[in-house]
Parts: sequence; C-alpha cells; structure tokens
Amino acid sequence: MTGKNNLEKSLRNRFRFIGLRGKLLLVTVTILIFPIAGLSYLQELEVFLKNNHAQSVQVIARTIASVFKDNGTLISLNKITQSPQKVIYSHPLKNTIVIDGYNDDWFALQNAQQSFMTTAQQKDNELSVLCANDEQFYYFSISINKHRVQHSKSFGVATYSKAPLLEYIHFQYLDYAHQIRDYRFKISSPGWVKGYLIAPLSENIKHQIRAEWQENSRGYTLEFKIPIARINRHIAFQLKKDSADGIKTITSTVATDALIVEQQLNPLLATDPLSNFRLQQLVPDNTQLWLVNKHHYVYARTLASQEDNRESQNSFSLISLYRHLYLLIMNYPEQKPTYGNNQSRIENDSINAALKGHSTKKWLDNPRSDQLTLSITTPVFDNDNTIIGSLVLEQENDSVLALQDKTFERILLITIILFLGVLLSLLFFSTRLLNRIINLRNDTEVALSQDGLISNQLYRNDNDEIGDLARSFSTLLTQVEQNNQYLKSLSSKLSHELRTPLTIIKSSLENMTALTMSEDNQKYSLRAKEGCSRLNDLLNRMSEASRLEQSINNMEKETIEIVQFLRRYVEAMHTVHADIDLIFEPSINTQTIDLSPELMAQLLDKLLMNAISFHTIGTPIQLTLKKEKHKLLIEINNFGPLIDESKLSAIFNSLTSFRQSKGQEVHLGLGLYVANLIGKFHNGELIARNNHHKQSVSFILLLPLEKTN
Amino acid sequence: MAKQIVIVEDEPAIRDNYTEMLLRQGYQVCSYANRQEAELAFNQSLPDLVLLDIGLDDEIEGGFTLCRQLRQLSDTLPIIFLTARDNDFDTISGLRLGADDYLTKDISLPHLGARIAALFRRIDVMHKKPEQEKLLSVGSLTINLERLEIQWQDEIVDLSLTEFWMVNSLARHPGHVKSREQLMDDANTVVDDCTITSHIKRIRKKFMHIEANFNCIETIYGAGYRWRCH
Repeated sequence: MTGKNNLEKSLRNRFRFIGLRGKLLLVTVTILIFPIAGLSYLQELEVFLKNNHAQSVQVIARTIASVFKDNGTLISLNKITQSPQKVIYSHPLKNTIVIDGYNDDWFALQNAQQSFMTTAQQKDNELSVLCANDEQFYYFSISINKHRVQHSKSFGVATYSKAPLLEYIHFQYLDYAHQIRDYRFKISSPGWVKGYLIAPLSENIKHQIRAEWQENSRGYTLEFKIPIARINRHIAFQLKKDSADGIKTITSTVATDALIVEQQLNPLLATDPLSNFRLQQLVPDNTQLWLVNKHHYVYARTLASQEDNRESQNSFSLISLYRHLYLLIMNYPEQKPTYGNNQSRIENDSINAALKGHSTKKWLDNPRSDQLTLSITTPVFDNDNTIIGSLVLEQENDSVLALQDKTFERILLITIILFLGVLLSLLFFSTRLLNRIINLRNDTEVALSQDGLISNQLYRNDNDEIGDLARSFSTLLTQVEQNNQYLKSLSSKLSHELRTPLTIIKSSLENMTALTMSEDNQKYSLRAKEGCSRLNDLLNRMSEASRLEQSINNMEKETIEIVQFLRRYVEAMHTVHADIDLIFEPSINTQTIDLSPELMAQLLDKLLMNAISFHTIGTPIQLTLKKEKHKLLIEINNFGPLIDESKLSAIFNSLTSFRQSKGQEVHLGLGLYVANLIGKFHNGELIARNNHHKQSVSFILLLPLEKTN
Repeated sequence: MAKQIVIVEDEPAIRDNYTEMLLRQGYQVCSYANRQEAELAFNQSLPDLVLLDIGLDDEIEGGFTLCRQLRQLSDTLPIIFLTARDNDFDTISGLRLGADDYLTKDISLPHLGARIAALFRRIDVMHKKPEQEKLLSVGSLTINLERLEIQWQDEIVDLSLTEFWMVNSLARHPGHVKSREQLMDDANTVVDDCTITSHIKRIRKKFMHIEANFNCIETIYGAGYRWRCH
C-alpha cells in the first residue's frame, strides 16, 4: 500500500518537473512569433522590391542590348568564330610587356594559354600561344614544351645546337590587303631572333619581326610584338623541324603543309573595352557588362578594376555571422559570380537561354563582398530579329538591399529587446507569483502543527485570488481552531457542569445516611455513593489536563540531578507497586538538568501507569537514561501489545485512547496528553515507538541539555 | 447558644442539603440564594461562620465580592468558600481575599462538618485562657491540637486549616511517606494531586518565612511526602 503511494508520489513529482515558472517560460516562447512574422513580411517586401528592381534593370539591359542591335563588328565576329579553326584570343593588357623572352610579364594570363599539339601519337612537342594586346600592339608569347628533353651526356647541359636538326617557327597573318604574310624564325641560340618574311617574297627587307628567344627548363619561349594595324584578325603558328627522318610540323591550324590559305588561319579575337561605345549614360553604377557573341566568345566588356581590390571576407566575425543568418533566413543560395576577368569564352545556362532569345535574371550572392549581385542576360538582335549575341549585365546591389539589411537589423533588435523584456517581466511576475504561492503553501504546512495547535499566519492583505485563497484558508483555520479550542475546553467545561448535579446527589445521599434506613436502603445508598465517587474520579481526571494547562506556566524549574531523581522515583515506585518489576538502567552517572521535579514525576507517573496497564504480566518494565549529543533520553519500555503504527503520533492527542480491553478504570486518553504537555513545557519531545523484534513499546522523552553542560 | 451559620448558595438542592446537614449537627442555619439577599442579612447582623459559593446566579464572582464586603465588616469572621471550581487560581484568589478555607463541592458532608467544627474550635480556643493544652513536639516543631496551631522554632506558623492538618499528618510520623490520598483524608478534603502539590509548596514557603533553609518536608516523587527530622 505504502509502496504504491510512494510510486504515485514519485510520478507526480516527475511530472511536476516543469513547475509554474517553466510553464510560463514555455508560453513566453510564443513571442518568437513576432520575429517570424516580421521576417516573413520582410521577405515578401524584399521579393517585391527585388522583382521591381530587377525589372527596371532588365529594361536597362534591353536598352543597352538595343545599342548593339545589328552591330557590324559583332556580326563579323560571329562569322569569324564560325570557322573550324581554333580562335586565338587576345587578352586586354593591364601591365606593359617588355619583349625579353621571359614569362614574368605574362603572369596574370598564365592560365589562359592556348595549346596545340601535333597529333595524338606524337606528344613530344607542344606549341602554346598566349596573346595580349594594348591599344597599339599585339603581343605574342609562343612556348615550345619538349617532353623529351635531350641531355648532353658528356657535359650535362641541355643544348639544341648539338641536335642534328633545324627548328623553325613560322608566324603567318592576314593583312588588310587580304594577303597572308609568313615570317620564319630560326631557332638557333638564345637572345635575339629575327623573323624573316619568306612569303610573299616581293616584299621589302624591312618587314622583319624582332623577337626574343629564351630557353627554360621545359623548352623555350619566343616573344614578339606586332602593331595592331597590320593584322587583319587572322594568324597562325607553325613549328617545323628538319631532321634526318624528314620534316615534322606542328601547327596551330588544321593545315599540315606549308601552304595555307586564308580560311585555314586561326581567327584572332581581341576584346573591345566597352568604353568605346559611350554607354556611360546608360550603364548604372556598380555595373559590369559583357557582350558575348553567338559562339559564346566575349566580344566586349567593361573593365572591372575595382573587383580585384576587394578582399574576401572569410574571417569569422559577428557581422559575417549576422550576414549568414540573414542570407539563411532570406533564403539566398550562396553562388559565386559567373564571370571571371580573363575568360575568353562564357558558356552557362543564362547565356544559352539568352542566345535562344530569353532574358534571364538571377540574384547571386557574392561571397567576396557584402552585396548581392543581380545578373541579367538578354539577347542582342540584328535587324532581322535573329540573335547575334547576348548581353550580360551584372549589378552589385546595395541600395535596395542595404535598406532591407537595416530593416532586418532593426526588426531583429526590436524583437530581441521585446523578447528579453517580456521574458524578464514574465520571469519577475512568475517568480513573485510562485514565491507567494510557495509562501502560502509553506505557511499552510506549518499552520496546523501535529498536536493540533494552530498558528494562523495565513492571512494576506493582497487584493487578488491568492489573497482570497489565503483568506479562505485563514477563515477555515480559525474555524478549525475554534473547534479545537471547544474540544479542548469541553472536558473541563463538562466536568464543571456535571459537578453541581453530582454534588446534589452526593450530599443527598450523605444526608440520607444520617437518617435511619432499612438494610436494603443502606445497601443501595452505598452503591449510589460508590457510583458517585467513580463519577467524581472521572470528572477530576477530565479537568486535570485543562488545570495543568492553566497552571503549567507558573511552575518553577529547579536544577536537579536527574540520575538521583530517577533513582529515588524508582525506589518510591517499588514501594507503591511492589508487584511490578521496574528496572532502572542509567547509562550515565550524573547529569544536572533544569526541570520541574513535580511535573517530571507526574509525567513519569503517566508513562509508568500506561506501561503498567499494557505490560505483559511477569515481564519487567525498563526505565533507561541515556545521553545523546545535546539531548537527554529517558525511555520507558514495556513488553506487550504494539501500538498501531498509524496511531503512534495521535496517541498523545487529547481524548485519544486506543485501549481495546475494558478495564475497571475508565480511560479518557488524557494521561499521555498530560505527559506530552509536560514534555513540551520542558522543551522536550515525547515519542512513542514500537520495537517489533522485541514485541515491546517504548515511550521516549527527549530533553534538551544546555550546551555548556 | 447554637452557632449561627449562613450559607450563600444559588443551587436550591445543595443549599437545602447543606442546611439540613448543619441543622442536624445542631447549628442555626440561614441560607440565601443570591448576593443581594445575603448582603441585606449581613448588614443587619453577622453570623458565626459563612459558607460561600463563588458563582451566584449571574454573578460569576459574586462570592468573592461578598467575601470582600464581609472582611470589611469583620476581620475574624470565619469564611469558607465552597465551590465547584477547583483550579489553583481560584483557590489563591479566595484565600487572598481572607477566606479561612477553600473547599470544593466534592467534599463529603462529614468532612465539611469536621472542618466547620474545627474552625469553631479554633476560634473558641483563641478566646479561652491558655490551659493545659495538648502539645506535640517533633524537633523544632510544636503542634497545638487544641488551638490547631503550629509553631516552628517557637514562632507561630500562619497555616490554614487544611495546611495545619497536612503538617500534622506528616509530622506525627516522621520518616513515614504519606501519599497524597492519605494527606487528603487527614485534611478532611478531596482535591486532586496538583492542589496537594501547591498546598505543600505554600506550607514550605510559610516555614521558610521563619527559617530560610527549611527542608523538613521532603517530596518522594511518585509516592508522596514525608517529614524529615534533623
């Protein structure tokens, strides 16, 4: 039964893990709706604003595209790039190039090399071309990589002069007279190399090209420049080797023999800076443009110098965290910008779509900056409305989004402040409420002590439900207290009220005795007197407790030696109850204590009477005295029936008796109550205890000792 | 001439029973049911002894009031409180007001008769010239059974009748333990243990008034008291 109760209790405690405060805090979480609502509003606003902005930028892009409508250069470019020959791409130069045969100047373009090989079987030589241009010259850097480097076994120096073959590099271009000019560089020793015009031979000797030839670990490099005005968009390179086996040729074109016609040359494609088109009025700030021809080759673009200055912000910071949060909440994919600086050919979905006639718009996150990039591609048409290219417009956006960033920030801040505010106030409120409830509960728990005394501290002035509750409790307790008081005084009141009629009966009987009576009458009068005397006894005992309660506080305490006191008490008891085997076992020799000896004797009387009436005849009654810490322990133990566990504490209550057998004497259950009263008067504690293993009952009085003792 | 006793008692049955008992013992008895009637009678003439109930009709302390008034009229008039109240506080109040005795209604009629007789005897003896008196000496204690007087170290101890009888009971057999019941019996009274305890305390105090370290009355806890001779 008790096990089941314990289980229920523990279960209840577990479910009470979340107290009132926890529940209130859980409710507080609903405040999180505010930021979510704010953010979704912000998101919608942003989508709307972005769409608007993108549309307006799209209009600009279309306008710019219309500038290039039917652009002759673009159309001719389309024709050129249509050729099966590889397009050699000339990059716009940002630095100046010194013709010295070394690759240092070309560093920025090193990945843009275009390589040509002989055939799949012969991988021993590779021809790479790099081309760049400024406003006056084309610059070429031709690298020959030899996979099989020939080492001189005797000296350990790689030389080509030892090789029994001759190498030539041919450079052909188309001039504006639509003639192919063929120059030949003879590779002999590092340094100066002259390119001689070998076709057409009719030309003057001054048409020589000055080149620098340098060896490197992989092969050698030839570097030279030619004025832009001389080349009509077509060039070709060839490496020819004369060896014993015959002539080997590596060429940039598909042609394998020395005779090349115009169509067999590689188209040379140079990027135009868009500034030539005077688009300043049309192009918004922070915008980059790419004009891509039909075959994805970049025909023109704005030079984006500022892009290189930007540093990537990879370092962790609060701002980047905040930005990540923002992008996450605003649902942005993290995408890198599509177009690099040195790209000569762009091929992606947007451009494919544009070349099929569809405009696209895309928002990209630029990880290198805090801004978002709006990327718009739109087709460029000719007069017949056929697509001749595509315009890519990328705008770094900060104007619109910055506003929203700030809004976002503000919403975030307001929400956090709001959340904290509400949280704090709820916490404060719940704590206050909880404390009041806990206080009330604690007060309720102590309001009614075990022996039925009431300390009414429940009254509250608070003008709310808890105050009401406290007042209700208070009223209830007052009523209980009155009831208790009534019960307590009942016996003494009753005894007082009964005394008068009893006196009448008794005095009448006594008067009757004085008269001469028949034998029978005398017998009955005697019995009546006996009854009266028993009734009198009863009344005396009934009022004993209340009389004691009234007089107890006037009792004086004396300092007595408790061992001596008990010894003498037990001696006296031996004479009074000669038939009882009362054993006194002090475990200490001497101990002084302040108490009222009369009251203590009365207490012992009550306990002893109780023990005597319950003890099994023939067994001893033990009185023991022990000292434990700062307490004196007096125990009276008798063998006999045990007390019901549930009644162990109630046994000291007034008018409580659990006697089963009806003896001759009437038991009102006041004896132990009186004993308890006396124990309390001495600041002591009276405990009843069953000793199951010995089948005995102990009454233990704990008396506090002063610490100096 | 028969002694005149006045009974002031609001309960007619008790009043009549007491009256009849006292009449049988040869006293002249007048009885009154309330304070007003009694007052009128006292103003005309004083009896030889007064039995007073404390609660008189509606006046809870009517008896005390009467006692106070009687003491103003006479210092020597024996007054006995006879009441259903039995608490210490009332006892002390009654005795402080100058009552000679304080009895609860538990007392049997023969006991009451004995007390009244003893009181009268005491008064009579006071008026008589000292003759050969029955004296009992136990150490420094001298008991005058005629005068119901006790002297300690030749000084009269101012004891009430109950107290006299108690000391008498104890001192007659020094060294013997007298239980509370025996003391009650000897003092012609029926009171509870607590009252005996307070009687004993009062007796000790009265003796200590004469000799500060008086310790002849010894408490045997659980059994009773005994007189110890030095």
